[in-house]
Amino acid sequence: MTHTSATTQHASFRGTDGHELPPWLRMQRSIFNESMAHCRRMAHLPQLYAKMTQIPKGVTPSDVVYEADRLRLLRYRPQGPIRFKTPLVFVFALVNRPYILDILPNKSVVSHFVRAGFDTYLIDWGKPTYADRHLGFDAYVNGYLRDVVRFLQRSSGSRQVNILGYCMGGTMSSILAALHPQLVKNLILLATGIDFSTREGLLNIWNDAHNFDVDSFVDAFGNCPAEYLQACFLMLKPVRSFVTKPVSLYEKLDDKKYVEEFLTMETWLNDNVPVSGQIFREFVKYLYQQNQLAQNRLVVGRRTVNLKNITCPVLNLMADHDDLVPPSQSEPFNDLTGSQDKETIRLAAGHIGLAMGSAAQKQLWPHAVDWLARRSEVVEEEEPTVRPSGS
Amino acid sequence: MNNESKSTGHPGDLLHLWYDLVSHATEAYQPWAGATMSPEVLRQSRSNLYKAWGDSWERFLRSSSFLDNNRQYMTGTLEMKKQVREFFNWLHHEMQLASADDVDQIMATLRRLGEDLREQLEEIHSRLDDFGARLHAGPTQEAPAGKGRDEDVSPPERGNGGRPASLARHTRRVR
Repeated sequence: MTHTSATTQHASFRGTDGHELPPWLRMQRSIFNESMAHCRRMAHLPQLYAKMTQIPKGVTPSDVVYEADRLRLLRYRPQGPIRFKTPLVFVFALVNRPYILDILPNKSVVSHFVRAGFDTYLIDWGKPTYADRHLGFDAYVNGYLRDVVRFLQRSSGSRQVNILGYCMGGTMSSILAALHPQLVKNLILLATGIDFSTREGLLNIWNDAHNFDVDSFVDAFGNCPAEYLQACFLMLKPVRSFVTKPVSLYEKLDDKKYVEEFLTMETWLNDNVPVSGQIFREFVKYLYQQNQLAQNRLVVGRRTVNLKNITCPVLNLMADHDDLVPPSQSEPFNDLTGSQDKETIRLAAGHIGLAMGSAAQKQLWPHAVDWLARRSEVVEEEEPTVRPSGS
Repeated sequence: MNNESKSTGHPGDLLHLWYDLVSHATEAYQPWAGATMSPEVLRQSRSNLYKAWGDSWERFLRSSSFLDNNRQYMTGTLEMKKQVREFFNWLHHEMQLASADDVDQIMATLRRLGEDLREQLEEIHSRLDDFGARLHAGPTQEAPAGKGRDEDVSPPERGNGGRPASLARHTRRVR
């Protein structure tokens, strides 16, 4: 930067007669300006807590249509006639609450599919209690997930379902699609870990067998505590979590839109739930440490999960800057499946940005909706069979 | 990128990283040294500093010294947690109350029963499917195989792996 441009930017440091102010006056003016800005920002501080308590957890109208233990299945109210026969179900991870997929009106993944005419459902796994600590892959995939699919088969009359799995939910969806390929019509994976042999991500290193004794951990705690998960996620990028973000918030406290989006995101990020001890054990031991899924060695229930059994169309979405699930964990999936119709899309975003970032909302999700629509059977003048309960 | 490439792996890791950070921080401010510092320049410098700081942290979090310390801390915490748990189990038994481990054993038994029941039901279901398929196929044709029900059947895994699904699950449909 040249001296001329720097001088231009310092126009505010000139006096009323146009002459440049002496250094001590410039400093005085800077301190005064910054103090005023500080007061202006601080005036917004008392409203932060009130705003945090009003953060909506899901913006698209929905109804609970099925429950099993802690699990709730939400059905989004159609915004017009249902255009496609096969229902679409979102399978979210067990570590966070699923409302990130429908967090703000302009950042809702769910609404893209609802508006396009898909009969859309979302699984909220709920918060496991101490009694749920023995639930592993078998219980979640062959139990809960398969029960949800059965319910959708009965209620919609469709023999198959479309599945969109996010993160750990994507891994479980892949296992379901491999064990029961006849149930899944189309599979969309979003930031899903499949091949855990990579050492690109910090989680891969921390979860290494040499560094983490998952058996002792689960035996001691029962379920994996939400606070532990939260700490791990924060420590992936400590400078961003503890310095950059608070500083940015402070500087933009008087920007209403920024604050609203910031609080919404932070509310979700801090809304971790514990993970059932057994599935945490299996996930860390069999996937992170032994990479059994990518090697077709993982046993769920009594059956070996063979990814080659997945023959339905697959859309694999991943983020270039994902700290939790690096693209190298997701990318091998397409080569491991037996599907002939598969597509991979990489977006320059992070783990969350892949779902709700501006680029994802403008480019990725319209494309994903179009991809699914082209592979779905259109309804012919027929009303949806499932009615919202209105609860 | 692999683990080895990022970790320096000797006891002076933290000190090394600290020097590294200071060096980066100096670099971040170097291009503008001596010039007039506009807010944009300062912001850019701060951004560079954060980046350098973040990179240093990442290297530290991958380093063997961090991983070793973390493992030791975790081992100590888990040991303490185990001792607390054993103490409370002993206390519950002394007071003739049911401890968490007692409830755990009952739950495990129920789950095992549930699993056995589910397996039997699935087997009956599978046989009925085959029977139905044979009926539809007629007596002269060979019956088709079941729809993926029995492929890749592996022996049941016990212990830490593949725990059974719960049949005690209470399923309710909301209308």
